[in-house]
Amino acid sequence: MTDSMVPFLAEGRQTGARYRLAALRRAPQGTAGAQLGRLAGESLEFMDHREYQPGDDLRRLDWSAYARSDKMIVRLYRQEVCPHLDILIDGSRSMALAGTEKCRACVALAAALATAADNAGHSRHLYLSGHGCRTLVDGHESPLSWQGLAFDSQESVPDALRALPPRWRAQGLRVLLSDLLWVGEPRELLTALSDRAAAVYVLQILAAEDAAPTPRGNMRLVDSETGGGEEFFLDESALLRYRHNLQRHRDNWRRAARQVGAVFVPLIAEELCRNWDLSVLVEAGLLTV
Amino acid sequence: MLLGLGTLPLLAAVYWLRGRSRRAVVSNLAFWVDHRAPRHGGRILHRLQTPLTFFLELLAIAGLVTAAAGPALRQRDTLRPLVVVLDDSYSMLAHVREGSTSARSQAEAALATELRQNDYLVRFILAGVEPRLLGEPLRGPAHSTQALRLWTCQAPGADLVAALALAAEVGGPTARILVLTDHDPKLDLSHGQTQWWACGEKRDNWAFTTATRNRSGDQERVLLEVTHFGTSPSKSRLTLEGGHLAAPRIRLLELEAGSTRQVFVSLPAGAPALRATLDGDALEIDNEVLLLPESAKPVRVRVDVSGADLRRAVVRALEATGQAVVAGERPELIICDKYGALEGDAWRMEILGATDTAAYAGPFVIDRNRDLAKGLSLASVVWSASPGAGLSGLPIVMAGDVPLLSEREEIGGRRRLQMSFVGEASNLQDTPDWPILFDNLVQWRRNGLPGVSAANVRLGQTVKVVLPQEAQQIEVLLPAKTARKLTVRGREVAVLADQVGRHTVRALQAEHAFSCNAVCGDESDLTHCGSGRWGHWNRSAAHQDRQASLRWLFLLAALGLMAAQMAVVARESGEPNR
Repeated sequence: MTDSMVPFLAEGRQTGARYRLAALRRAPQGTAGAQLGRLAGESLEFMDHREYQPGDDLRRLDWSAYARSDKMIVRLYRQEVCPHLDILIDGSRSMALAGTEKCRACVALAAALATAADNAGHSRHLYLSGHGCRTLVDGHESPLSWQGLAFDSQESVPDALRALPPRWRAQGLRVLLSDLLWVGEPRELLTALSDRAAAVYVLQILAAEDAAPTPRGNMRLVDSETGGGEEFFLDESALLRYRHNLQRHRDNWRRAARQVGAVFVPLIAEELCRNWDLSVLVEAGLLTV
Repeated sequence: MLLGLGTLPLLAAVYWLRGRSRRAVVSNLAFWVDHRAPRHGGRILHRLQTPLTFFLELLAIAGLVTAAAGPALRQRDTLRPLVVVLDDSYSMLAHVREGSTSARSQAEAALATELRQNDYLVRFILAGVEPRLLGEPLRGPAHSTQALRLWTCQAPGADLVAALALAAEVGGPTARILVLTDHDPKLDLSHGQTQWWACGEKRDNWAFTTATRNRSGDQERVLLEVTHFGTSPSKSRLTLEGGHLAAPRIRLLELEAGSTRQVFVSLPAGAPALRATLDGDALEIDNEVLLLPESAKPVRVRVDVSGADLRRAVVRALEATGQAVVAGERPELIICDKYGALEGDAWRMEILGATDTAAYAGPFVIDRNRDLAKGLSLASVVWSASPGAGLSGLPIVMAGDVPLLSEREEIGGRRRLQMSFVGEASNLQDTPDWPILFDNLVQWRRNGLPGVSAANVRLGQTVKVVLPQEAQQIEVLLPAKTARKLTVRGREVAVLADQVGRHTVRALQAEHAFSCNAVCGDESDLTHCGSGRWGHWNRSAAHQDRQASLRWLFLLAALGLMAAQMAVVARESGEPNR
């Protein structure tokens, strides 16, 4: 990791300290864990009584209650779960677009989510796309210890997923940090992302210049990932066409996310970095204060 | 203005520099591509990629520069007026060089050159005996050439002073006036409004200066005056043709410079037309005269006077005129001593006597405007008349409040004259006023007969033609073999003799002729002619073209364009998401 990322990671850790990951609607699986689930389980934490039903473990019969009421009553205990967070960071070059805060926002947001996961007692695992989805070195450590965080890949996230998919934890919470600015059908990626996942969050981090470009006149636009360029005359109609294309792309992602049960949250890097208010993620159910 | 024009490429350079492609890195180029555009399928037309503000600024600067240049529109009514005074006298027809062009042709060529070089609104004034305006203002040499066809130079003189006055009145104080003539100016041309172009040349010239043909009894006398206008003695041949001559008669004339020779020719009464010619020289028009015989038809008079003395006096006076014949049938004039009805076309003079007479010895009041009173003096005349005669019509001679002679016009132009007169107690019939009175009467009646007033006239004179009552229109066959139709009002029509030669007037079945001759010494004298240009046209602003300034229009357009440019800039600056 370059030293330039350290301030962003510190900024993210400081931001994430104010948040915790929210409880998942779908309980994470696991026979043993550090947290109690919302379902009945095998922990020692008493939760409720109910009548015996065939198949119940006879060791859970409350004999005292049976003596008093002559009814077969079973004791229920809370489930013991071990929640997990998988974060996949888009490592393509477009995430470090020059002149924008995309890199800063992405790095800091990853650190904040990791810190919030720590606060919530979640285990976590970070992956970085680029030549497949590689585990971030020391990603389970404090954010300031992360190694190898760089945005220099020419490979898009779907290509990375196909090349080397991450080893997702089943029933875990999965978060994708990316600008999603590649051409392709989002369903394939989202299907892979949501396979056996407790919840999936797709956080689209766009620069303000991505969302509402301002250049006018004769421009030579260079693709940040491929390096290819093309001449454009940017006038009102050209900008309108770009905004239309981007909006259609977002709608595709939003629709596909809804179909697989994922949550799509668009973010503007510059706005995020202005005051690090993650209330939009709280509203989306990803974080709690 | 050049500085302003320099800003145009400067502005273009600024926009070119601004419009060059700038490099910008974007996240993904695919979102910028117009996916609707077909990848294959020919050329794609793109919108003009230069911003609208460039054109607005370019046009605004161009408008300002144009306004700074002071554009003006020269309209028809704002063109500088030029009034050309054309010397219409026949001396302009004189050749300026031996066998070469005339002064008129040279002047026309000079005028055409001026009109080609400068744009004028031209008006022409023909300077003849009286100045005459030639139509509406014209523009361009082509229109002027058409108008100049009327410049025939057939006038016996040119009143250039009156023409200049008319030009100044027509053109106004700022008009330019150009005089085209053949002699030097005698006027002060320092006021800056008039230029005087003379295209003539001093030449020797022989000319007829007088040509008359008068009837005297059974003969006609022809008087020809030939003048040599020159600087040295010269010879010329006078040729007489026609008349009673079986063959042309040629006489050699040798005259000192500026001298005149009179030639008398006697012809029998009613001889045909006599033509007299001189040898050819610088001016041809005055080298020939045609003299037609004067009309010899006398006035037929019927005398119905009962008193023998009075009748004798009347007949004797009529015979003295030489233009009346006493006849009983088809009279044209009836002289009688009692009131009666008019007969046919005859005029009637009634000499009315009375018993209650009074003798008047004067003073007499005479209306000198009447032809009948021409030459009457009535000195020492005793005129006996009846105070209560009750003469009708307008009085011509009165004694106090008693009318002695009156005249009244009747239907058909006939006239009734009444004279209160008692011969026995008067001496009027024994005085010269008596034959004068009857000569005037016969002459007046004769002038009222169908025919021309004169058989030979000078160029520019007007010939009165008396026509029968029923004539409505006449046709005048001109010497140039063209015809001119004139409408008759009353029984008389005036024909202007503006061409040299024989004029024939046709009315109903009758035909009358008169001859017009160029016999004007002043015009034939070419020794005062010359060439040159005098005077200048004022160059002050008042005499320049009156042009409608368009500066305000371009300024307004530039302001509009600048406002539009500001609106476009403001709209683009105020767009959201920028």
